[in-house]
Amino acid sequence: MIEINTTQIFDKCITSNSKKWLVYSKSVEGASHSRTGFSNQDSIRWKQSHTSNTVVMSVADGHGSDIHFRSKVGSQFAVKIAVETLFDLFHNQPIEIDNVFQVRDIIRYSAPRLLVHNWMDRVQYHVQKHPFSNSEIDLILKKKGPIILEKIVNNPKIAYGSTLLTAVITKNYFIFFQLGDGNILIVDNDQNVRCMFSNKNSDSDDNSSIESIIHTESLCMDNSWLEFKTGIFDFQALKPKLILLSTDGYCNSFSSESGFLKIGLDYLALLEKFGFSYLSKNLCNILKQTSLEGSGDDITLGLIYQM
Amino acid sequence: MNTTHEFQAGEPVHINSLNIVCNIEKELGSGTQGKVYSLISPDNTQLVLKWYFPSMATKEQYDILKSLIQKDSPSNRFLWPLALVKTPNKEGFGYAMVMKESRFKSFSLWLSRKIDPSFKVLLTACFELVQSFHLLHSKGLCYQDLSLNNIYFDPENGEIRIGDTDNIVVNGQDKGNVIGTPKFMAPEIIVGKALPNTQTDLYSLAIILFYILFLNHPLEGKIESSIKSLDLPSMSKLYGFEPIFIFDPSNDSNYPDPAFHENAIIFWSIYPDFIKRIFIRAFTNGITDPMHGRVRETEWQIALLALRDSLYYCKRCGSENFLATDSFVLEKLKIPVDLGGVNPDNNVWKQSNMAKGVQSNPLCWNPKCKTMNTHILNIRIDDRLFVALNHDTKLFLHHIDPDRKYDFSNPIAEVSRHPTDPGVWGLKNLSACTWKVGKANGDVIEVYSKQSFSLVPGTQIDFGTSKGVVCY
Repeated sequence: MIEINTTQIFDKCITSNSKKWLVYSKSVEGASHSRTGFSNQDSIRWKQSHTSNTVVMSVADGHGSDIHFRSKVGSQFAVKIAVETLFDLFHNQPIEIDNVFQVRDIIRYSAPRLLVHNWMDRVQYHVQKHPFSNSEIDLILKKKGPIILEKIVNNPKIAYGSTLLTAVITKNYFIFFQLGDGNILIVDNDQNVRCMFSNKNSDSDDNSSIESIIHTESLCMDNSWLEFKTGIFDFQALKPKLILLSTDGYCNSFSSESGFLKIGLDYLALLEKFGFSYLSKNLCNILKQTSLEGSGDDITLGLIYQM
Repeated sequence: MNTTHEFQAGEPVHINSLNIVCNIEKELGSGTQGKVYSLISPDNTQLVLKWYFPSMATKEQYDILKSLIQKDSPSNRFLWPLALVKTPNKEGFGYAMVMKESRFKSFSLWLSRKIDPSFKVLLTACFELVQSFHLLHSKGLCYQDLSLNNIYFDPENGEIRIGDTDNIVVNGQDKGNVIGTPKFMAPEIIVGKALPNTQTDLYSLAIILFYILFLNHPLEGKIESSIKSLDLPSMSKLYGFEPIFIFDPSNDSNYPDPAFHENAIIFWSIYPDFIKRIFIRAFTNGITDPMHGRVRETEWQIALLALRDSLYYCKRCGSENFLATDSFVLEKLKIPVDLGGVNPDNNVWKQSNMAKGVQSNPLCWNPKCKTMNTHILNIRIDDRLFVALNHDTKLFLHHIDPDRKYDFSNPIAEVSRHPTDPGVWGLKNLSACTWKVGKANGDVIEVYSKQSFSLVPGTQIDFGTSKGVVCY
């Protein structure tokens, strides 16, 4: 069993000896952040079992703005909790045809709440151990004023705000969770690219009705488990060749979603024509260049490739 | 590369029993059972095709579908299978059904507060749901897999649609691919003592109603929020082996956790006691005594309609509030059938005096308002029911004709504003019958179709099939 925490740039390749899933990831600091000295707020983590073919990969994007001044820590907690919690569930109790109905609602309703719950517990513990410093408080007071400061002091989890995207691969099923910005792309055997929870396909009535100082769906929002999008798919429903998880720094580097979707085929072509070794050598530069020419934001990409 | 159980856009689909050939328009979605495609049909009827994955295309499923197609749908609220579909070059089978219109939305949008339907809409949806299941059960059928994922509603009017009907079986047949889903599954199924049946459907129905009205699962309180890892044994305990209602009056060990179940606490304080008592019964006796303790569809229907009829708008902020139709109060309000009497004024006086005790909680629930709402006009009809009279209230045959219960097909009356004096409200006769209206001063007038009379407390109306009195 292998667990990797890649909160910084890393170069590792793990292959499953039985189900042939190649898992790889890279996270780069945004070009604009490099210039301003602002650290990478993204986190990525994954865990893979050689025995049960279970893979869980999680990506989180700490919001990084002034009020979310501990969002790097928040995103680290998010990926760690998601990977631990979901790996425990699906590694120990694999979903099969005869029990998928029993776990369906646990996945849809209970899992998001538990992820949020455990993240909040971790955040609360961190705040107790590391109360907001005078410099953190002074900075918020100066930049945002006393009303916002009071809100954060009364609700410290705001400081840790982060998104969360997670993919779970089991023997026969694929499960996806998404809260907030970011993308999960599936490239199937027929080279169709699907954006799992496309923002542009959302229902016309899917307008946010929540007034908040937080402008994206986030783990730090009240009742945030209700905002999770979840998907459960039979292997036959997706037939994935490549699954990509990325923070929104990637998508925002493109002028249109259709332009972004093409990266699915590009990465598949890279892997199939030039191999993993080429990709691993070049991915960091690809992402840095994308950030430089695009959003300027941190970009994190996780790949799960069926060999 | 096409596999043998998938369709591409444009592919023809022969629906032999309907004697039509459709073409695949596009894939609408996929999930755990199969894929769903929209179809282009010759007469532009909006149809969809659900095609099962090979692992799900069992003979049992085929037999269920065949049986359902031979039966009529209990009502148009069900997205019922229309025809079995098999094609020579595709593995397995599927079925065609009418497409759900886009105005119907998932209840998940309400749970995440992406939409904000009124109480009236939610109660209408709940009523329609219960009524639909009453019809289904009265046909001897059982749904088996009721959950929030397979029901939809129109946020404008509360009309519902029920999907995933391909798991419906004859009650007691013990057939089907599913045994429900844990959160909506009756405890006796979880503990292995029963298979899905109409009694377990009733339990699932109560869960759904609670979810819709309280935005929380009825068993998810402090015990649920203390679970730190996801595992089936802990879920089985919570929903099956040791289920405890979050508002169980004799056991507060699973009371809502304010951090995670705030909605339940808020909504519990808004609804009147009579509906809360029914939910308490549903999740106490209804758990311990599956055969006799569960709330029947008819009980839900009466309670939900009484709740909807009791809605009024706060005079200050416009929020919907409930005129407390507590059954204890209702008992005191036994309205004489003979409203005319020897001295109608005296009768009215007595009733009006009693009416002042109706509102047990006249404070608007809206925390930003909290206005005291008194003198809410309402009409009491015989000794059966009463309806708060708002600017948009309509009466139906359901209200005035005891033989036409649940008939909401056409309004027979509506509240209307005086054409020249906007401060005066009336009740307009939308029926073809003439009403006899006894004014508070003793005068009796006839109100013909399309005519209105002023809504003054003490006014009595003889609808022909029942009698009403305007109160406040």
